[in-house]
Amino acid sequence: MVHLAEGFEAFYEREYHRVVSFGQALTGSWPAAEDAAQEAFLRAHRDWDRIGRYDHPGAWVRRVVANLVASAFRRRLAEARALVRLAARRGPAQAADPAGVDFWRAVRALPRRQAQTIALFYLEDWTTAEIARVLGCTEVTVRGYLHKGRQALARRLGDQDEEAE
Amino acid sequence: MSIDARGRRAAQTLRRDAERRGPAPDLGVLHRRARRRAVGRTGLAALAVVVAVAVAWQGLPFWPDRAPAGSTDGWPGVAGLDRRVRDAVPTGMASEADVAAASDAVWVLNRSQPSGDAILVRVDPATDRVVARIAVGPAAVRVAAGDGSVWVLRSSLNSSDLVEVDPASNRVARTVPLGNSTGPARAFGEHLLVAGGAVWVMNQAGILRVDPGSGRVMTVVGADRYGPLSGLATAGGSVWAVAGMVVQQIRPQDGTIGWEDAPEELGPMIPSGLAAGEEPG
Repeated sequence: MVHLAEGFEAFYEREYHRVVSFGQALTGSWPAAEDAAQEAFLRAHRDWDRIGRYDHPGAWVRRVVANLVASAFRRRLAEARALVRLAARRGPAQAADPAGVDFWRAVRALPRRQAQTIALFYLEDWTTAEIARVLGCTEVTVRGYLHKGRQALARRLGDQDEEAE
Repeated sequence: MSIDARGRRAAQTLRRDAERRGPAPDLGVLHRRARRRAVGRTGLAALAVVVAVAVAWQGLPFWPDRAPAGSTDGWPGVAGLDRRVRDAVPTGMASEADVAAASDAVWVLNRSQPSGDAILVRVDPATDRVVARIAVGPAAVRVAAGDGSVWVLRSSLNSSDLVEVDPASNRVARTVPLGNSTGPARAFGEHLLVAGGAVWVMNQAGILRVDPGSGRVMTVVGADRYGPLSGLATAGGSVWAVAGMVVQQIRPQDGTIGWEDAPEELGPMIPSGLAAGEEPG
């Protein structure tokens, strides 16, 4: 599928929030996720002639985000910057869903590749083939990550049904 | 609830939360932010080159194996200390000291007097002679000179104040109380600065701006909101501070914060100090 015809702006508008959500699931930090997502979209924009021709440019952007948020320093820096930006105009506090917070915290405690797989599986509802494209591995590997990740989550979150599978 | 149900619900919450935060930022904003960071990176790279050239030119740091004592007479042109040390003046016993330079005087704060009081020693750089010794009382920790005045910061557990020394008479002119600091510590250590027509103090209370005319003390609001303060310096007509990972520019005329950012170029360490200077020429 060639996305060049769609144009970068449309792609950006459509994907932005989902990509930030993916980053937030991996970091637990909105500023870090936003920083990584913006950096990834900027890179995509600069090279859109090439990336726009990919079957799935959204997968490419998520892969960049996954790599960027793996850096603890970058995360801390992004948070400091966001504090600066938001210091003067703090928005209303977001109502956090405690169950959701616990779930993503448990996801972040998983090994990195398992966490990325689980985040893409639930957030994007993607097939294992699509997830494999983001992670740069085989479908079989993704299925392994998914299985082990869900088992570990069930243990951590106390879901007996899943653990018994 | 199964893991799948939990996961889908958590994903839904996350997506909703993202959308609630407003539309995607304009692409122009993203590009401008990237350009600013690129400019900062280029500046840091240039600075690194300058430092590397300077170090190569001057040679590697040299640690003297013994400290000089007594008189400079026995020092062979002082070059024995280090080839880059051009001069030395004995100012008395001091285990801890601070120093400030003005155009016509070097001020050394000698904190280790037997009486417990600190002595401010004035050295004439033209003749290498100590021309005055001024008692500035106990708990003196910093000295700063600028705008034709000399200030000493005294800081104890319960209170702190500023002592102004008149360089014309070499006497203590007045004392400006800075108040008590009873809240949480907002800074690592103390700093003192004379810049932009005001005296600046960084201590446990935060950053204080002291008007030298009226003696009025005001706190720089929000200076410590990103973490404990760790540095204070002046350059380009502004006062600069570091709080956590954030560098802040403070307007000297009213003590408000102008620009602030966490430069990526600082690297993965939290800064523990700050120095600033002007480009020569």
